[in-house]
Amino acid sequence: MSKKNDVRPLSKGSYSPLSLHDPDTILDDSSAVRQQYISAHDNENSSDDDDMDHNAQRRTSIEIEPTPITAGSSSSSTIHGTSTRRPTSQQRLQSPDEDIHNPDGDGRGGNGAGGKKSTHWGRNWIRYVAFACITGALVLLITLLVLRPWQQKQKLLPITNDAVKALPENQPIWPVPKSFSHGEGAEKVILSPNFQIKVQSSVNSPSIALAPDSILAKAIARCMDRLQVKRNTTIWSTDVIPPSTAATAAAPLAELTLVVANTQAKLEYGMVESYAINIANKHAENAEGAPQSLVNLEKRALHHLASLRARAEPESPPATTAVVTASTQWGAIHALETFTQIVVATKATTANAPSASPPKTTNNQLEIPNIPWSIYDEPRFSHRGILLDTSRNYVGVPDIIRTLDAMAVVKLNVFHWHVLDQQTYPLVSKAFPDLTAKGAQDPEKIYTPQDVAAIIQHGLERGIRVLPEFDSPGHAASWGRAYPNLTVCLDALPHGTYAAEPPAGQLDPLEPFTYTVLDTLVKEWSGLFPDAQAHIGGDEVNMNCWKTSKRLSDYISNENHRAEYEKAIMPVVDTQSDNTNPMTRTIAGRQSGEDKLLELYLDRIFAMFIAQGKRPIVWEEMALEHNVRLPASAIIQVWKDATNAKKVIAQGRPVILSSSEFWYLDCGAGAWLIGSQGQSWCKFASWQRIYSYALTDGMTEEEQKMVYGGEICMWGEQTDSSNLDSNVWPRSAAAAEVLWSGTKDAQGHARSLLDASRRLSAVRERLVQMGIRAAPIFPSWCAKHPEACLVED
Amino acid sequence: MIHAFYSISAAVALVSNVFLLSLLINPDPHPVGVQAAIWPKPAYACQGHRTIQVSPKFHFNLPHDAHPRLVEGAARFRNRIFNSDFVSPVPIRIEDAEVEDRSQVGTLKLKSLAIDVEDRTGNIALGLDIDESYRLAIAYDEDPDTEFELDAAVCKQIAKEPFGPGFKGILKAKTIYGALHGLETFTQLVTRNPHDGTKEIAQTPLLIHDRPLFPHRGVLLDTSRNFLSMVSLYRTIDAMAMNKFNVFHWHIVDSPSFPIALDDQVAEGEDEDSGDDMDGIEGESGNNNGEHVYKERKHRIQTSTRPNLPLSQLAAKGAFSEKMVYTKKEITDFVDYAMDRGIRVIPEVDMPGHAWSWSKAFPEITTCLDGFPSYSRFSAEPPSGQLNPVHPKTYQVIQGVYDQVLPLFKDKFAHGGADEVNFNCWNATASVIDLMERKNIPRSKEGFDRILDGFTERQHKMLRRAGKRPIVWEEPLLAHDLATIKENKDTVIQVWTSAENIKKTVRQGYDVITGSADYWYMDCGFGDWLGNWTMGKSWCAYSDWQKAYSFNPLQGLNTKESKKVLGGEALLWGEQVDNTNLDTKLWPRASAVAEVLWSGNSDDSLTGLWDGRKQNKNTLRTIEALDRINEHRFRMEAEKILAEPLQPLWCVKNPGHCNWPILDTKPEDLES
Repeated sequence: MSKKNDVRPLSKGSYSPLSLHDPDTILDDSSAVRQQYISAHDNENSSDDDDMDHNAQRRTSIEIEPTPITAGSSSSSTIHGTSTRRPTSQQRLQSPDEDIHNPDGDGRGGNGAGGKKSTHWGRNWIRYVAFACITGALVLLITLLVLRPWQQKQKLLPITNDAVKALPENQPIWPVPKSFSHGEGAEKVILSPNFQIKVQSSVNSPSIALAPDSILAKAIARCMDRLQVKRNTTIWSTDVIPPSTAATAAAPLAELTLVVANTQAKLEYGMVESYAINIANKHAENAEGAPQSLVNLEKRALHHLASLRARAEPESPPATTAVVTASTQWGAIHALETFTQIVVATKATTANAPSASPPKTTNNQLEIPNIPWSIYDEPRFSHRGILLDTSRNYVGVPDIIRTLDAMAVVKLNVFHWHVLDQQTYPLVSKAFPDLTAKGAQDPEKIYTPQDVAAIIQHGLERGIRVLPEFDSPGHAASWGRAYPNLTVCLDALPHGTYAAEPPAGQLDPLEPFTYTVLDTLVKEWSGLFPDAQAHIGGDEVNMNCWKTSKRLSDYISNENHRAEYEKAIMPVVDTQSDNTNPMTRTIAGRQSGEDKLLELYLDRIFAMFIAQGKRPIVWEEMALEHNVRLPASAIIQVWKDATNAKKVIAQGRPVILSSSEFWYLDCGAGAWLIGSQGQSWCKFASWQRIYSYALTDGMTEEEQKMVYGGEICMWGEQTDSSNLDSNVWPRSAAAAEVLWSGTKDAQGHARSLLDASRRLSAVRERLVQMGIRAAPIFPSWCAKHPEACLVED
Repeated sequence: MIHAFYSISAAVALVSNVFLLSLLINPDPHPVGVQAAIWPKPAYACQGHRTIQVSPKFHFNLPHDAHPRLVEGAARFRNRIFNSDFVSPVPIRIEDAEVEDRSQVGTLKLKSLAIDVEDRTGNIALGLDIDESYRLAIAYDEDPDTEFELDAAVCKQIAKEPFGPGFKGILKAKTIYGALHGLETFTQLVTRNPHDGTKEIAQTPLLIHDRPLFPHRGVLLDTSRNFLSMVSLYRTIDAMAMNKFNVFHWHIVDSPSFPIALDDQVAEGEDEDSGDDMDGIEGESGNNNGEHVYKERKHRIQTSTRPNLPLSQLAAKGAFSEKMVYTKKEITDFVDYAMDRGIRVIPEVDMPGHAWSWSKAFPEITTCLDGFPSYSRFSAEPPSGQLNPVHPKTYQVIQGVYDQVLPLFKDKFAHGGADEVNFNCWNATASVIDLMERKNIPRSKEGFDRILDGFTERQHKMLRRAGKRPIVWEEPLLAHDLATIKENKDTVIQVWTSAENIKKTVRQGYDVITGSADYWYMDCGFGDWLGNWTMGKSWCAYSDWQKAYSFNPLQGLNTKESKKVLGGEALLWGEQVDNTNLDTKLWPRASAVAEVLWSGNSDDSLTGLWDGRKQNKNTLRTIEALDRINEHRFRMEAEKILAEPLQPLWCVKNPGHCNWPILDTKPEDLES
């Protein structure tokens, strides 16, 4: 995937260098699209803040109303309905200037050589179109006037929102749980130095002894490590707070009980990740919010006795219970992460230590303030990912491992590994070792099967799926280094004509050897990557490239010759369609020769993956820009305009959302092609921008079900080990909260950016503490005074 | 003087005008130019075609009385030469590889580099006027001081010189700082043979005559908005030395935090502070002809004694945490470390704006703190807070801070700040209004300019008394037209809002430091950090390395005006920068700045054609520089500096293939 040097879809063919050199054009284009998006979303926002925007809109439209232009646009919706006269009358309202743009307007009739009726309809049709264009332009103009994009001052999300329940300041859980309740600071519980975590399969069963290398045992060990770090830390100020004055439950918390029904759940799309946490003093257990699973008669009776005794003998301390319930180990892993985030370290030394001699090491006290805590949490979307491109610049295995560690902290669960692309082929193949030997940039910058296994295992232990992407048939120049006959237009110049970015090169769909190699590789990959889904790429296929081959252009232009070419590659793969997964075409109309050629390739590559039991994911062009058939099971990843999501869903296909308007982490770092001082093709996405990506806004409930989730994308043109962390974090955490918690809370209220900025800076410190070089989002001063760090008008 | 030196290489510039030509047309088979990717590009270099080996016993031959700074420096570079496993990912150009003679690699071994420094004592203080030139020769009996017409013909002659076993390496410099730059160049010339690990120098014999275009080549770091650890600062000095930067502009105190740990000031002498408000203003405004009164009062202030001041509280209460401070010892060690690498450290304690951080210790000297409901009435960004110019204690505290801070920095310059002074703030401060009414100063911009002038005069007196020549941001001259600046033409003006202002400043006769937000602000483009602005963009656009490289500080200036341009700085403000991302935000983009300041962005700059005319876009050597900066990025990475990649590695390894499409050649018929 490149999407780098050119905003225009490359399928438009001829390329105009002038527009490339005019960043303003590019910016205007994208901002207009964004503007439409914003206007669509603003209308649905119900918060106070946006009401103000509506008022502004109303005011402006009142000013404009007396002009005929608005009158025309206001009734535009009925024009296409029943009346045929109405457009004419509407049109007369247009100013003379606009009439000029309509060559078929009144007074120019009499050119009807054909049937009168059809001419009339034809004329009207043109008129309707012209009228629609004009009204459209006017609506856009008014929208622009109202929203004033040149001022760039819209606030999509409220600064503060009292309707949304906030987490306590020193317990900044990220992403925010679906529902939670907690005490108001009156009570806290201290973690015993011997604190431990026990696992049970149900509430009353005895604790299970876990195998030390089991997923759950490792998660528990990690949790204990994190707590130990909290005990020792001295650096990060907001994590360590002065001891609170809250009352302490007399007995320290000695154990956390982890009730996990199924510790062997499969790691897959749609897995159950919900969990509940309850931390309460026993005398409060009957209070509302106690988990259903804990409530049974026997326990209640015992507790009743205990509380009676407590009342009778006040010196006997009440005990605190901490219980996590989860159906699967995945939920339990998330619960442990949340648990560490509500544990607070308080300074063991006095708060007013002299600055001259800060303590070298401290042994902080760990406590959970604001008990009783009750949390029920589950993700809004099941597919929550980061895309990492390791082909354009190599990212070391330790860097990937570190990224997985950080992903677990914010409950992301898909590592979309864009492992192959046009620049390098770093994934070692056993069957075709030359692919890497000649296609990698450096014999050390490769991924061996052992590396892949280690990454998959590391992900598995954290509930993170490793989803590989084998981008083809475009972006494949690196395949041609070892096997030039696999590719066409290898290194063709000017690269801008033949590929989205250098070097050019695409797989040759009429070369039998292509399928020989692919068939072997797909089997090899399927053994390597256990996930039930696989990303097949399909972005930015360039027809100019294919047309450089005589064979391919003959296939494209000469329908009669096709059968012969197809016969040549026929024996290689069986493409008989599977009844359970029929191939469906989603674009009506005649198929071009180019798309026919693409379909020829796709039929085979889909068949290979489906034969290996993989559900395919492809980039949006396959559904929106090419008339090709796709398996019914295919998932479409949207990367261009955010509005394309609805277009794909309208085809009945599920989507993963990664619009470059919001979730491209590489944008804004300047053009990396040399010879221009241009800006990136897409704008830098600040964390606020990322946080404002309303994935499902404007969708019906049915449409929303087709949104499987989203991914934030780190393309690698200007990113490698040196700046990976600071480019990805903490901005990806903003996407993680959108994906886990949704853009709104359970009551439908939009979250507050002020609260988010405070919690996000805590996430950032958390990540830095773990050795991830997450960048600061604002001056440290603002971390302590977020309310003072707001934009003002 | 500098330009006269460069004019001898006019012919060289024409040959190495690489834009497009070198890509499309087969260039001169004996190109004149540096092929080992030296960054920044030397002013003049001339090379042959033989590869030699650096003997494992190689040593630097230093004069017996060499300055310890040079001895240590040489040891450092020898370490880097032999311990680094850096191999450039950028391949040698095919046309260079074809003519390169490797037949004597095993037999021609460079055993030593003789270093000759004119100033043996090393006592010449590091400063603006230091001579940083050097001459490096690896040749047979070649004296680098030989004066001859360095042109393409001579270079070809050198390339053909017989190269016997008696060849030697010589490095000559006027000062040890020039010698250190020469050692950096030499170290960059040595490459590692990836097959056997031996060290080689390609394209000998070679002659390099090098000196910087500008004497002030700086990097600004801001340690107040986010704290930067000493480790990060030391690493930045290392990286700066690799780029031949020579000024570290330390923006050490700003509004968000006050990270210098100072000692409490104990009173000495009799305390005769009168408590009279704003003596300077009174003198100036109360009586237009009362210059003598004013001076007398100033004199009294100057000689006034030091009261008790709890200055330790500035950091104790104004730093982010007790660990996020710099001690005096840390600062002096750091200044020494930088000086060992030929880098001056210039401190900036910003005032009178940007001063919230003083308020926790001395609330009485600050005003309009935490502007409510809107900080933006009072400051450019939160937190708002300015020094109170009419409170006498303000000046006592500043003097106390200067007394302790300025001696830590050995440089002759100190930055006085004075950017973004907000008059709304003072206009909302009762004591300021009160004084202005009493003295009949109009509460207009002109009136507040006078207040600011009174402040600046006293502040600069303190700086000058401490032996420092003040640098200020552009506003005191361009926005406020302060008399203090007008009367002291030696004040250096640092232009920051726009490159347009360079001309305005030099035409008024001031020395100027360039590096404005339109080109050299390394923090721009990363979104608005204010918490609630989803559409927020930075106030200034991202400068990629190509944009930074395209800036010509002398654009539109005549020769005389050009001499007022001392140089420039790459500025990295700290709103979204701390230890985690300092390196990646600064490098290698600041390297582009380094080359512009050292040898320009075009070969015109070496011929004296660079100043005084509109730069010819076609001579911008961005494409030639690409391979070198790509290599330099990996070189810095090998030295543990986390410089970020500029391109996909494929592009680095395939030079010329990742140009903007318009630069591509026409496609060949691919399948015939």
